[in-house]
Amino acid sequence: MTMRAHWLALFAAIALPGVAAAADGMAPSAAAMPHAHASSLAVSVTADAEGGLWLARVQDGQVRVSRSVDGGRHFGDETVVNAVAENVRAEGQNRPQLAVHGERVAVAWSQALAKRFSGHVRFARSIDGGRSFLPPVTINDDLQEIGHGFTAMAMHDDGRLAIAWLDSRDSTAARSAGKEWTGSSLYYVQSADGGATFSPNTRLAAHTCQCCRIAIDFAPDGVAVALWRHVFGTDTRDFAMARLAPGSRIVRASEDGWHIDGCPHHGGALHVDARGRRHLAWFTGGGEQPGLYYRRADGKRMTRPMAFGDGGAQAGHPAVFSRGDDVWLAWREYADNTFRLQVMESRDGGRKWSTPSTLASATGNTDLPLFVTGTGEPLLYWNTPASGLQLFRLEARP
Amino acid sequence: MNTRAATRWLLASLLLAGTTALASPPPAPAAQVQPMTRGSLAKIVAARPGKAFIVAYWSVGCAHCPKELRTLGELKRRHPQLDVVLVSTDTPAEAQEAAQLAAGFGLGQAEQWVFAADAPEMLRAEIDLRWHGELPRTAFYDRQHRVQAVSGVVPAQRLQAWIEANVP
Repeated sequence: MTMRAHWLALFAAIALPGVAAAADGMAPSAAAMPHAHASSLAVSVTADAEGGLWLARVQDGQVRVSRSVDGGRHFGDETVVNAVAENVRAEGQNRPQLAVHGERVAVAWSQALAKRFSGHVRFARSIDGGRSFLPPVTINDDLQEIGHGFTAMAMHDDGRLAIAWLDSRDSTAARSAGKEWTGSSLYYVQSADGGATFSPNTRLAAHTCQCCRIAIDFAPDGVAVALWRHVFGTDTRDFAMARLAPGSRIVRASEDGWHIDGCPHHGGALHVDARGRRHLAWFTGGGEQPGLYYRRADGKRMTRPMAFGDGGAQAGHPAVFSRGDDVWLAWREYADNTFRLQVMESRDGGRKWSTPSTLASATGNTDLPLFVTGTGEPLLYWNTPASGLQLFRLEARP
Repeated sequence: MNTRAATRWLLASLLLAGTTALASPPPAPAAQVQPMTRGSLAKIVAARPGKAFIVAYWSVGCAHCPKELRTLGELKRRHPQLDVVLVSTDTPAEAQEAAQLAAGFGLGQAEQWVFAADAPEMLRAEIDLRWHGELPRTAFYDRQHRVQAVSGVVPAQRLQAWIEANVP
């Protein structure tokens, strides 16, 4: 493993059984049956307060969770979340979501239905520390066989949950009434009791992009914030953000001007730091310089977007994390027939940045890089068929 | 289920079989859909000397693609000389489904390919580095094979104008 001295590779790679080489970034066919015995490349990792790491992956139409007590070197026996297999979406933009608070383990995912582009938002919880799960429930209260997916879940330090998803009930209703409707809608629910009960389905935004992952994170005031690709005007697919609260104002988060009547399949990343500052990272195909951008939003003030990554190497799929004034960006590039995991850091809240470093590389397909949730530590993970699940603890440069 | 499900089970069993299976070729796509690997695009272009054509990149999971493909299907019906090459960015396991959808768009007779690489980035690296995977993606080749590529649904009028300028 090659890396610069200031990055500490924390753990050896963990081999996941039977990883399927599925193309990421593309929504799987809705009618598709789960690949038998094929494990998803798209996984999620979260941490609990005791220092345990939890892994969610999908195999045979079942979400499976396991816990590591040695910092990710080994994961214990898996618990099947949904006893009855269903078509669980597991790809770059649409992966099972996982959160842990004490004995409560919450899992949310997108289920594909037979009709193309249709699905349900599914949720299951454990109240015995992940030893067993209660039967899954469907979160969307609109049960038409239409689009409800791209499920994103976040948990606050106090155990509160927020789940957001893209929902086509409004576009379906408009079209049934013979009206035009652009894009999809973003709906959410919240739970104060670990998922035993949820608030009513609430629309946060109308006219969102239909095919990009939503980023969601709790602010220190206990209100979750979402970042998503929106449709401004007829076809400008730039980013927007809003607090998951009644009457919330939608703020335009990027002014890239990407005019496209199409599917970018490329969502953004959001991390709200302990001071409530929002760190945003995203991809745009518009403007004079398409590529990756970072900016920070402090209340209404937003910094000028900073371009990063090598556009000539297909830089994409960013992740962002912060601790104090340290901020890390991670993303994926592809060059010379190899994917590489790129990282750079700022020590001053996102103003000055280090040069990018290559943390790992892989031939074959790879998952997107993501930060472990549920911890204040900068733990980055990357799943590849060649090397399994790799975890990295990023350290601030001295 | 249909043949698509059967293809998936074949893929699954190949994965199950371990290293021997991994060393053998991927499951054959539907007969009329060719696997796109490195060098395939050059073959597509080389097979059309002095001819204008369109390469339409799409996928079965792309919600916007049917709109443009139906338009292309209708234009193909009115202009049989229009040469559309369909390239699905799915995997060979989806080839049959892609072919069925293409037939539904009126493009059953178009030459069809499906991405057959570990990751789409591998093929995009040689197709066009300015393409980031967004769909649909339409590449217009004129008679000199100068390429103009467009992301997102191309309006019908623009397709019509291109045909009038390039299709005999």
